[in-house]
Amino acid sequence: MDQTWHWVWAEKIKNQLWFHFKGKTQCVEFKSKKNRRESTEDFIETGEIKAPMPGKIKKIFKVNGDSVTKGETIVIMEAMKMEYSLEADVDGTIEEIDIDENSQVNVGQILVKITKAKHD
Amino acid sequence: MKTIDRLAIANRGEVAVRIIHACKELGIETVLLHSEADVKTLAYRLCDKPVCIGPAAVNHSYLNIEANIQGALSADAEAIHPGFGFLSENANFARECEKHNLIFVGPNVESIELFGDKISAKNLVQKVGVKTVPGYQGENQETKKLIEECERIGFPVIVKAAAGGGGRGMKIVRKSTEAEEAIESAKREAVSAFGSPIVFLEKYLDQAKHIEVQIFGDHMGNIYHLYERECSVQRRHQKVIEESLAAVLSDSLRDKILQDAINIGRAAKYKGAGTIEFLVQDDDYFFMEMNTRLQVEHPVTEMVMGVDLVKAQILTASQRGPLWTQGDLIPRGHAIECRVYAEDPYHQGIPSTGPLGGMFWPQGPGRRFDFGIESGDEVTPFYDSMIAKIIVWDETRIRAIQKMRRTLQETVIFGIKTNIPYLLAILEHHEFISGKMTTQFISKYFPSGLKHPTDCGEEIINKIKTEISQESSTVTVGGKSNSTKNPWAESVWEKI
Repeated sequence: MDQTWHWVWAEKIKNQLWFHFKGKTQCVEFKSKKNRRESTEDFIETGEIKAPMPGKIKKIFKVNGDSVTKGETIVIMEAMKMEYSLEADVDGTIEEIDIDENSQVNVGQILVKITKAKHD
Repeated sequence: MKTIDRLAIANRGEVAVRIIHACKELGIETVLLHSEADVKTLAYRLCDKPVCIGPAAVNHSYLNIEANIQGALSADAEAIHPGFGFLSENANFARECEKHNLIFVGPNVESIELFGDKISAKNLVQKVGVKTVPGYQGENQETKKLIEECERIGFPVIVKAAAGGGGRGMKIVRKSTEAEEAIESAKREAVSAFGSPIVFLEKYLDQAKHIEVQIFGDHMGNIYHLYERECSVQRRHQKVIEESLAAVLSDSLRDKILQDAINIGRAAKYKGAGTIEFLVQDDDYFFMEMNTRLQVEHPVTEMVMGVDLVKAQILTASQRGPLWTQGDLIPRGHAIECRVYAEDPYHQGIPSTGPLGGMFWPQGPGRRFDFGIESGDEVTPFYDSMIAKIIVWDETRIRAIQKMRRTLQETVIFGIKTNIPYLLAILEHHEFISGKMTTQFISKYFPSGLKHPTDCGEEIINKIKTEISQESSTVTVGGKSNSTKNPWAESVWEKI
């Protein structure tokens, strides 16, 4: 058996290309018309905490000017009846908190900005 | 005997579809009591009559007792099936149904109240002679008092909502410094999910298996057990993978647990489908709680026992029976259920919402798919993120695991992210395969979900990229795969 078939299921949804191949589903996103492939995942430490989904802010643990450490919970939000902890992705100082407790937020909305501490 | 010609469903999603199937097979018309957000769903298309009961927010629709009752009455329904979650364990709802001459498909109001209050449930169970987990269930709900009780019980302690279920409003406290935040968080979740901040404390058994017994009481007072399920694979106290029978359980322990379950059911004069949950650690076991409703994971029991629990519920509600004899209820083979959640497995399971693209459920022998949305529908942020359940049956546990892996690999869901990669990782884990997993399984081996996926083919992405036409929603792919000798097929998916 030196030739075997592999089916690919693929579908374009807006600027995303979804495909299923050899038991795995994957999605890639096209950012521009030039078909430049960009990862949908964002690993860069931005110091920004964005709402990962639409929901409601339940609790805020910090105020402007507070220092925070990477991994520390800054905000608890609720979506689909579950609570999610949103953590600082850098060490630094809270620059801006743009939300109140009990406010509704949209997906992608920037909730907190953190100025990254300079490690010498 | 009472006749039910038309039944209203006070629920949504895959369980609404499950109930519709049972009703259609029994010759009963169905009324779907749905929210404004659930028009584009399978249950809406399959029901005989949809009745909109309110806006998307659950408090104004699925949790609104008055709206559900009025909806059912307006459509001349004679009975209401509450499914699971929402109003299924709400005694007031059952009482209101009675008041309006609607048959509530479920246990008596007294049973719901008895077991709905986790504290009175524990008292009854102790009377029957079944051990419960040590804890605190007092009326003093001050955070300070609760922290003191945590110290007395000894860490780790689990904080649970008294009116709770489904893993909501539960928090584990491992040391005294965490107690305050955990208790307050549990209270907040308890209020938003169940409308009551009352919590109780339990010693947290961290080497235990979650084993639950399906019991059923027919309208003549017979109590049956339909063996056990194991649901040790849980994440944040939400079940992820369930199976029947239990992966590892000695016959002598099984006999004791099943007998205790029957005794609890008899003591409560229980009617309908119910599940008694136990924590099993070594050769000891403790009553945890009883759920007075159909369970999400009921299909694994249906597969091994060869019964239809939803039909049994409806027949019991219409006072028909006896349904079975205990001696005829003999399990065969092994069944596994995987809950498919719309979430990103690589980012702490954050919910994934949006329109669904193509979907393909790979049918085959011993495979069952329970779902409530189809291609073109939308996953909305208003409700639980479970979009489907995949259930398989095979002759042995190992074969069932293999079948489940194949089935998950062949399942295609586009448009939203799902936990399927996560489920596959669990099914490939040696501890799961050995059957020795405890409720700590996920926090022990998958504490932060999954790492970033391995790319399943850079070359393929490039090939698809070159083939793709930006204007058309039809994608045609052809060419060679990355393993050099495999010419791969042409595939076309046309979006509706």
